[in-house]
This record gives sequence, structure tokens and C-alpha cells, in this order.
Amino acid sequence: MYLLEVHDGLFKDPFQLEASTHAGWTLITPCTADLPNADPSGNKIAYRLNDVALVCPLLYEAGEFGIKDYRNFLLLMDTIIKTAQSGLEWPDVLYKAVHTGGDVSVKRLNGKQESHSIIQFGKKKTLVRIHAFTAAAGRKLAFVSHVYVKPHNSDKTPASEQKRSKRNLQEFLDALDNKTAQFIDSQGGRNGFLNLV
Amino acid sequence: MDSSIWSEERKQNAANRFANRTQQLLKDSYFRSEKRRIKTGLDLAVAVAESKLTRQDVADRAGMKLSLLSRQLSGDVNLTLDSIGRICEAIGYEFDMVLRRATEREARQPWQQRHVRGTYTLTFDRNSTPPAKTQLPLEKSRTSYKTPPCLWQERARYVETSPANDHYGMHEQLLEA
Repeated sequence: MYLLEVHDGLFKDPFQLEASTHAGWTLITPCTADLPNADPSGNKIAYRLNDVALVCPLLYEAGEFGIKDYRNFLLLMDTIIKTAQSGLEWPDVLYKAVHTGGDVSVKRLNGKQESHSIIQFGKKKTLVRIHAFTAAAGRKLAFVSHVYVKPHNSDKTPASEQKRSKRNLQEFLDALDNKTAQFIDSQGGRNGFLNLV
Repeated sequence: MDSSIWSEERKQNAANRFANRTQQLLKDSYFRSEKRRIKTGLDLAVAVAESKLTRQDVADRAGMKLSLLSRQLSGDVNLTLDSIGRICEAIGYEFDMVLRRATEREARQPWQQRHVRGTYTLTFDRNSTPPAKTQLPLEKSRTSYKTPPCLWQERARYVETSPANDHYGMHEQLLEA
């Protein structure tokens, strides 16, 4: 499984793709592939946001949002990234903008059953929600599962989104247990940040 | 919106749309104002959380209602200088307005200057001579003392006069020294 470290450089102009250097929460999200090393003619690629977005479901799924939801997604990501840098507990800073989205149960390679709480980010006024799981063993790590737009007529977290979070977390933990989890090369590659988890 | 069944073409289109929209929004002055507002509110929210005071205590000290404080810290309202000053005073801070070029890095807040991954702690006094290399671990000596003295003296002066622009994280070490 490929992982992307989500940091504010991705949403800046000029765009930056590198590992961030703060000691707060490190935000990682699953990707479908590594970035290409070279173009078809063998020239080294200068990565653009399009290239990163194409391998990262968290980003390209937001590309299909309506303009208002999309705007809220960017502002929400900005809020999360800036809060992450402080390293403080999420509710201490974000207060009502963060709450639990339910618990999910996953199975580790050694057969143990583990229960994890979904951290759900989202402002009341907006319908965009981001699901994440956090762990603080050595370093503080937040696994950002996915983003979705909440239905207008429901206050509860949709069961389908909880299932998706569970599936993503299970895939991430399987990759960790099988030692196949790796950051995309430009952010350190296979052994780049494995010590984070 | 589960994308696991999307075609490659749809993913490509969505990724392009994402990148284009982001670039457009970053140029939008209203969006930039909103980001600035959220950043200011968040900086204050982190400072309040770090102060170990409850929000109610901070609201009382700042002479405002808890609901107003919460709204201000969430970035939903346009903060006035007066409100920022009252919140800062309530948690024992003062604030300055520091200007920078748009291309320069943001000024770091107090909590961002403490631990920076991948950098070494520079411990030196600019009025003293550096200790012998053997007294320091290899990494520290490599980082601290390969820099030409004139350069680190330059940096030290710069940091002393402008702590808010301390991109090298040296201000605290200077104070400690």
C-alpha cells in the first residue's frame, strides 16, 4: 500500500511535495500507486498537483464535489493540517469541529481483534466530513481514511462511510503487518517513515 | 462516493478538476481571506489549549461570553484587533503584526519553535568561541561548526532582532544561552 503524507505544501502555490518537518501529528492517507519517476521519453518529472491527485483518492474524489463542498473540503483540510502541527489533542483545539464517528473492529495478522474509534472532522454548517484514525506510539500518526459529503437529511454518520473507513483501516493495518506499506518515493519511499508507525 | 469502481478516465478528470480548482481558489481573494481568518482563529485556539486554562476561564478573563469566544476561535467570525488582544492577554500572551513577503515562510508560533523534526539543536553563544569538536557528538559538531562563523553570527543577530521570523529555530537556544 502506498501512502502520502498530507501537508500544507500540497495546497500551496507553488505546490510542494516533501515530508513536513514539524513534530505534531503526521497525517497520512492511502494512495493507489507511486508517482511515475519519468515521463514516456525518460525525462525526470517535475510533479504537479494533478500527478499527486491522480494517485490519491482523498484528493481526486473531492474533484467531483460541488464547488461549495469543494471549498469547504479545502478549508477543512487546512484546519486539520494546521491543528496537526501543534501536536495537541484534536478536541482541545477544534472543539466541536471534531467528534467520534463510531467504532470499528479490525483483525490484525496475529489474529488479534482491535477496536478503533473514527475521528470525524467537520463543521456543523458544512456537510463535508473527513474520517481519520489516530495512534500515538512514539510519534503521533493520523491515518486519514477518506472524505465524504454528509446527506442533508441525516445527523448520523452513514453506515456505508463507517464501512469504508473500516475497510481502509483494515487494508492499512494489513499492509503494516505484511511490511508492504510504503510512502511514495518522493516522500521517503519504502523505509522513509515506517518508524512512524 | 467510493472511487474503487471508477474508470481511469474518470479518475483522471477528477484529479485534473481538483488541481485546477485548487489553483483557482488559491488566487481568489475571498478564499484567501477566509483561510487567513481560520488560521488566526486556529493559532489562538492552539494558544488557548496550550495555556491549560478552560475556555470558560479564558472567556471570563477576556470579558466575553463563552459562545462568542468559541465562534472566534473557530474562525467563523472576522476577528477584531481588540478581540485578539483580549484573548491574548487572558492567556498571558501579547501579539505583534509581523509582515513578510508573500513568497517567504510564515512566521512560526511559540509552539512551532520547540521541536522540529530533522534539525539539530544549535547551542552556542555568539560571544564565546566554539568548544572543541571532541566535546560534542559527531552530528552536532558537523551541523554547528562547519558553518562559517560570520554566517552564524549574522543569523544570530537576525534572530535576536526578529524572533517572530526565526526560521532557524535558534531564538530559544540564544535565550537559554
